[in-house]
Amino acid sequence: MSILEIKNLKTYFDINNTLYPAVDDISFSLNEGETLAIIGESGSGKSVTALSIMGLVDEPGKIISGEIIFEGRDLLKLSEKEIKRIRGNDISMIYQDPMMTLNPFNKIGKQLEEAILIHKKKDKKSVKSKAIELIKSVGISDAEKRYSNYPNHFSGGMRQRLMIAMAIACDPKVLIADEPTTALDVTIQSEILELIRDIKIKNNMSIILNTHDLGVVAQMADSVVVMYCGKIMEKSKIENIFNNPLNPYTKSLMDCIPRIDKKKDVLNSIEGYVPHPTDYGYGCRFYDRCDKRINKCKDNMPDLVEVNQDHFVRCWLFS
Amino acid sequence: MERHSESTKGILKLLLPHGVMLLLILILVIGITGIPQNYNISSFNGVTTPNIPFSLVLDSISNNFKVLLSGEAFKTVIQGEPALDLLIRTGRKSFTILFFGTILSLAIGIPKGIIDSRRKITSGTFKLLQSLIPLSLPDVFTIGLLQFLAMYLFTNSVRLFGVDPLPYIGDKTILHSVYPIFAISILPSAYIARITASTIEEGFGKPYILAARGKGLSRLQIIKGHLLKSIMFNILSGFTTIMGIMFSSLIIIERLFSFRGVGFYLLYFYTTEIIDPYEAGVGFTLFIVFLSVLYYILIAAINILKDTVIKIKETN
Repeated sequence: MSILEIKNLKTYFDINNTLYPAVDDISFSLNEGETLAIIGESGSGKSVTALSIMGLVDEPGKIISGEIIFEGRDLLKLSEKEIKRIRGNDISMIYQDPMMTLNPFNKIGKQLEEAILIHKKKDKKSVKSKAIELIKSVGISDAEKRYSNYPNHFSGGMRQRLMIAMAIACDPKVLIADEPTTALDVTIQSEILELIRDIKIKNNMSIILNTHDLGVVAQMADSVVVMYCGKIMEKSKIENIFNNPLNPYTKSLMDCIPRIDKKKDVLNSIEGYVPHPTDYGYGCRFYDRCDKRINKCKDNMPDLVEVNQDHFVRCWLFS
Repeated sequence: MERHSESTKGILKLLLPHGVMLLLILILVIGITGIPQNYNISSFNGVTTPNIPFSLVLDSISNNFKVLLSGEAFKTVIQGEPALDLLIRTGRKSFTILFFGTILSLAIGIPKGIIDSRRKITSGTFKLLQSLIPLSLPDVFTIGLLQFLAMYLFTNSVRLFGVDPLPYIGDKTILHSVYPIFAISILPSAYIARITASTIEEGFGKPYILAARGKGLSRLQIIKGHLLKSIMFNILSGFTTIMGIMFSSLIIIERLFSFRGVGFYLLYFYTTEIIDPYEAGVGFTLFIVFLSVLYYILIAAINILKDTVIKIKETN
């Protein structure tokens, strides 16, 4: 059963009175207890999608149209006051850079307490014990003492653990993890992913995981949305994406994964760069980098069509 | 314990140059004001000749130091009142204006800055002008405008918010200090509002503020919980400028509102023949310099303390 549904969401940036698409007419749904990974290169619109769901898109960005249905209610139609009741409570987010997302001037305990104080209306004593419990739950020892520490007393990995603790403080139903391991050492990455997975099982949460690391996707996701230049190029279950990728962009991404069974001197990469929104044409946005392009692709944008059951692809080769 | 003594040492090390520098300024002012008023150097055919021998000038300067340091200057009777008593009495009046003016500036400036920071990006120039216009106008114009308004309200018995018109001139009652306090807080309020607004605007671009918004905190909760410290720190850092504005406005305000504080007497002695205007002027100038020096040391100490606290927090 779907807990969050995104329908035809368009988030554009208004620069000098011209609208540039960051998220362009995307639709997907997240089921209860599911982990959905949104993958794509930098600039594909993953973070803007996450911020749109959270209602945190700032000017010059704005949501042009679409629906974000959470438990039957369209979040885009709610007042700011109603959104604040959901934000941090029912839907919360883990951010990319744990070194920057904790206020260096405030004690960790106080930062952990904020969301609980706002949403759960508990007395100060029980809020404090909940904060200490949260610190313990993310595997940080000596929680009582750590409660009074400032962020600079913690390493990057520990800070990301604290960010996770902060995000789950109010037992959210949906957790959006926006590249939670990008800024961390490889050794710490797996610990953090494991922690997120444990918490998901324990709290029965649904997760949207933004990443460009396909290894992370393989470990964590149930289904995958592949984004490129604000458009969904392919979406399906994890098995389909890894075993039978259809869109040339998804295939190119898969080819970039180093494999133990296939020895290579040079790792694959997708040639060219993600175009800037000002350079988007009318056709497929992957046209310039695609090795399967045909004439039709240049000036015509293909629709996202269901090729197999629950396997959607945007490509003229399948339309 | 060791850490405490280390931080005390650090504070003293930073404070000492400020203290020495300001002491030098004070000595310089006492020295310069000790030069006889009629001292002149004439030049003829390429030869420069002072009208008073240099040794006499030095005597006069050292005498100035003696008179001030021995406290003799404070015993001078002015209009039947010892100079020290007059300084204390007028100093108290000026301090009242400065103190409550500071409080009012903060009370007006911070909320105004919070409101300003809320406006849309397109009104950025307008916002900037709101602060820059009052700051660019001459003090005397702004203060005069307020006095003109006060006079109009009083003479036409206009009641504002159910309050009788307040006296616009003199210093008999506490009500007489209301307009001077308002007048002295106009420019600092604009300055504080600008600091507050820019701190909030800058703060809202920081990732930890985005994270705080993501928790569901309202704008005011974010300002209170995450930005107020930065606002206060930035205001404190800008306080040397703010107090500079206040000290210069003080003389004009006291004169225009006939509020007999230090600034009022400074101009009064210069423009009347009650006592030797030069000596009185020097005395009051020195007093204002002394107050400024004390004030700057105080602000410097608070700033150094603030920076040390941040440093300690960062290193621990």
